[in-house]
Amino acid sequence: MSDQDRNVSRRNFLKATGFGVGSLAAAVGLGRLGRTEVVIAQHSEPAEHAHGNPGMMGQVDHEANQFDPHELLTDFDYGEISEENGRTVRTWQILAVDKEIEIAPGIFFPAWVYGSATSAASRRQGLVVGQCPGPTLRCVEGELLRIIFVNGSSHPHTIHFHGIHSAFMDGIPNVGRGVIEPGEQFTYEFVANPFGCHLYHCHAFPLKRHIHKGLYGAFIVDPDPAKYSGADRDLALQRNHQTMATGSINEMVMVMNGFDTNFDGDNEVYAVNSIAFAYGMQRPIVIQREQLQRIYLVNVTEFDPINSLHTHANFFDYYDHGTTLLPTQKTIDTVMQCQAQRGIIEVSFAAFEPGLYMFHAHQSEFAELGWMGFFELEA
Amino acid sequence: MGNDNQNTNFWQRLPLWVWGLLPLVLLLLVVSLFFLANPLAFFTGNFPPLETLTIQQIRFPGQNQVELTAINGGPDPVSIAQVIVDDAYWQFNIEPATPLGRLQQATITMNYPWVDGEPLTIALITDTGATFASEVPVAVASQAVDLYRLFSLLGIM
Repeated sequence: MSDQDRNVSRRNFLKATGFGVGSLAAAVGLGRLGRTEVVIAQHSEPAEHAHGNPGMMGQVDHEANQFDPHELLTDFDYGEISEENGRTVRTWQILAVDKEIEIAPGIFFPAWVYGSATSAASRRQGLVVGQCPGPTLRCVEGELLRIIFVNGSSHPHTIHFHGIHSAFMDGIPNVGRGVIEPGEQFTYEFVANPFGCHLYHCHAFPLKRHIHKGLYGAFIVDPDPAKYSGADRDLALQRNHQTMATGSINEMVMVMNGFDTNFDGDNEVYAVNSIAFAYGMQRPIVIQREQLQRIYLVNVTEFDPINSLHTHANFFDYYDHGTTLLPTQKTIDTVMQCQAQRGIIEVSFAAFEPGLYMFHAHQSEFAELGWMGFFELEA
Repeated sequence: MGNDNQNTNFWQRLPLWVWGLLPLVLLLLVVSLFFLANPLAFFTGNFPPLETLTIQQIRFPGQNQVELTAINGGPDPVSIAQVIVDDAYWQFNIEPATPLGRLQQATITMNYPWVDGEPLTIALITDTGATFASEVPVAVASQAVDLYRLFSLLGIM
């Protein structure tokens, strides 16, 4: 049966049962409303066609992009570990490249991106793959970090880490080594501090352009349980990737970003982890009831002062910047972040009914332009 | 001087039809040079594709129905990737399928709960991320053209 047949029969049904608003009004003695009555009756009729569906047409070719937002979600890049004078040293090889990426079905963006030799995408493909957002670099507080940066892009870039380090290692133009020209390399070196959910990004000028083109990523420093005692130690154990109880926590990275595809200073596409509607109804994030969900949330959205995350049908605890062991906000369902603000969300679906639980930016505009997704809670 | 005379004689001895043919030969030479050297490459060589898409008409044939036609007025093919209605991506049908060639026209239809008497902006976003928007100041149901009424009216006037 076509839509039209169904609508017609429904309308006939309404007429036959006298259930239109107009006829209902007449039936209860409000007759002689004349013209008004007719208008109400018209409006009470069912719509000729469905309201249609929000969203996009088609699918993004993740293989051509060489990275998949579902893989990025849980890919923590621990680099290569070595030992020097009794201290743990963590080394990453980071490459900057120019790369066109499909950010939404059929929409291609001329991006500048970072790639890491030790990211999941690179290991899977056997070559350093540029991805947006860049690899999620993860370490433990107190470790010595070495980031060997090679600029394979056609523009000068830097890596500026949000963390505590010397001015020389700040990764900004004209200070320390300054910008790294195309074809050149530089090794940033500093001690991981403080623990928390941080980020890194290119700080070459013009800054707005260099960030919004795709040069950013999450930088997570886990607390070192050995530095804490009592209840703090237990909390640090649960936050640290090396010591947390296996399988008890599902950790995810969500980098909120946007793309100004026509370069008019306004984003046409919004997303978490670059691809519009990546975790939509067709490919939701599958979660288990018995696991605590921990989201490392980073906002790098350019052009808009703030971005946000809202969970449906549930409330969460939030650790602003992730630099505390206890939540900075308890039992909230919406959190707001300015650009470069970030934090950790902990949300439990224990005792929830199975089904699709939506999450999105609560700027409705961002949500309808791509920043919208679902958790699918398994039975 | 003798040489000059000889030359003059040579040119004078040429049959008239050769003189008639000469401009044609020169013309052929210039035209073939034009195509071989491709001097217009300067204008088309290194530029990114120029996308010129125009939304010609937006119609509201019925409740929840929106229909629009777009034409590619530029020299390069244009691929319409998505449709944005009032800052929201919305599902649609397009006929014929893109890319649209030069001066090719496409009809986009969608089910969208437009509000009678309120403004509406529709933007088409292409594969390069370029957007082409058109604003409807006041959305009202489009009247189907009744040819009998139209011609009766013309007759009266």
